[in-house]
Amino acid sequence: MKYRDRNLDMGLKLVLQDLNENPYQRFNIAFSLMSIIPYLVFFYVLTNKLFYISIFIGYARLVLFISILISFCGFCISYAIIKNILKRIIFYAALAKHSDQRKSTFIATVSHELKNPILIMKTQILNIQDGLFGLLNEEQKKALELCQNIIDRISRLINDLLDLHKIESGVFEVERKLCNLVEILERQIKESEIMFNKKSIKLTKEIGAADLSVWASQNKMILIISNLLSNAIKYTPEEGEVAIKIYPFDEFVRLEFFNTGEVIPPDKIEKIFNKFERLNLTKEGTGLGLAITKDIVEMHKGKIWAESRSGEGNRFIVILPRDLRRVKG
Amino acid sequence: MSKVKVLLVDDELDFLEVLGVRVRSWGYDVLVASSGKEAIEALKNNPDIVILDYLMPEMDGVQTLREIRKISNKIQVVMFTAHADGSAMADTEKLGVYAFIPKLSFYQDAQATLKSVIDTIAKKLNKE
Repeated sequence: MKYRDRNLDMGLKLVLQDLNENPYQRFNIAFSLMSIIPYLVFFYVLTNKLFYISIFIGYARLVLFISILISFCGFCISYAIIKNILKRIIFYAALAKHSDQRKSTFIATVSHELKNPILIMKTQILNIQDGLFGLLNEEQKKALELCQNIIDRISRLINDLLDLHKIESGVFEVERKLCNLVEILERQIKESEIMFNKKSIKLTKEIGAADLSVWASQNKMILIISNLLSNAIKYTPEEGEVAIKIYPFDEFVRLEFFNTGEVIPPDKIEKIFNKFERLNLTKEGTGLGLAITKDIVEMHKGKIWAESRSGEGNRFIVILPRDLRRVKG
Repeated sequence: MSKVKVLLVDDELDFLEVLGVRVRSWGYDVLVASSGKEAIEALKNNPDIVILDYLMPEMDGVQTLREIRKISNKIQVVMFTAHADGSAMADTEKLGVYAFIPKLSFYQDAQATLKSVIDTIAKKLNKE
């Protein structure tokens, strides 16, 4: 759905809320009044044809005049009603658009105001680390490394919070097209190769078809896959195992990310998709990745859940409709 | 062979300072301007490369770039921003931007990209 359509829809919704009575009832009354005209014409033609006389003679002329007057009034009333409702729709659609623009401005401002100081800090620390202000001893280098790690963490948190705000406020990239999830998955796996090698993780892939396309936002599909992939890598111990499956599943595409390692306790399995919920506080992360992933999956009318088996590991499952335009509700 | 002059334009004075230190360490002459207006003024000093921030008050990156292009088509311009999107890139590409570098969260990547872009432009300029 495009931005413009969403604004119009929102406008219509607000108009319906704003009008205390059902506007369709008003339309019906107005149109019934207007529809007297064709009935009159129909009767006029019929009586002329069948009986070679017009019923509209003498006293009937007055009836005709009154009927036309009523029809004319109906026309005027319906014109006023339609004009009024259209005006409201336009007003509310403009209001919705303005609100979207304000949200976009907020995101741009926050991005600029928060990211810039972090960038400056990071650059200056990097300048010091690289010896541009004199040589450092090992302890000083370690201290600065710690600062860089903390800055990276804040950076990730800001990016995640901005993503979440974009999703929740509706200011979000809504341009959808056919995206081949297999291609995206392969690319993301390739980009994560270093991380797999670093922890000597064994990766197995099971790909059900070469083309498993879904009607979705390409960037957001990348975000879903990269979030689940990095999550799997993060929670897999050294020399552990990650298994990824993707296959068609009726009118859906099913993705599975399995990893060995610390098992999510059953009482936490539902909560892990909550904001700021983290399984292991010693691992890096903002606790927003899975919340963002869930929001995006639901935005595409899909489902995401996790399963865990003690002694084995955790499995994250995503199902996405191949064509969400056909999904009702 | 004279040193290549790089003009840094950003409304964040602190950023200008830290980036200035970095670019100087790469062996280039650095000029700074904290607004689009100042950048136009600084063109008198004949910079070879302009590193321009996209989001600035009053005169933003694109407006500044338009003004620069009115004066010279030779200056190589690199856009640098924290808020990059497709339309921004399309706008600036029409005006002859050499490269568009987002200010990434993992700054080392952006910095390496910036260095390689400046080095490439400098090599080209020296050949000419």
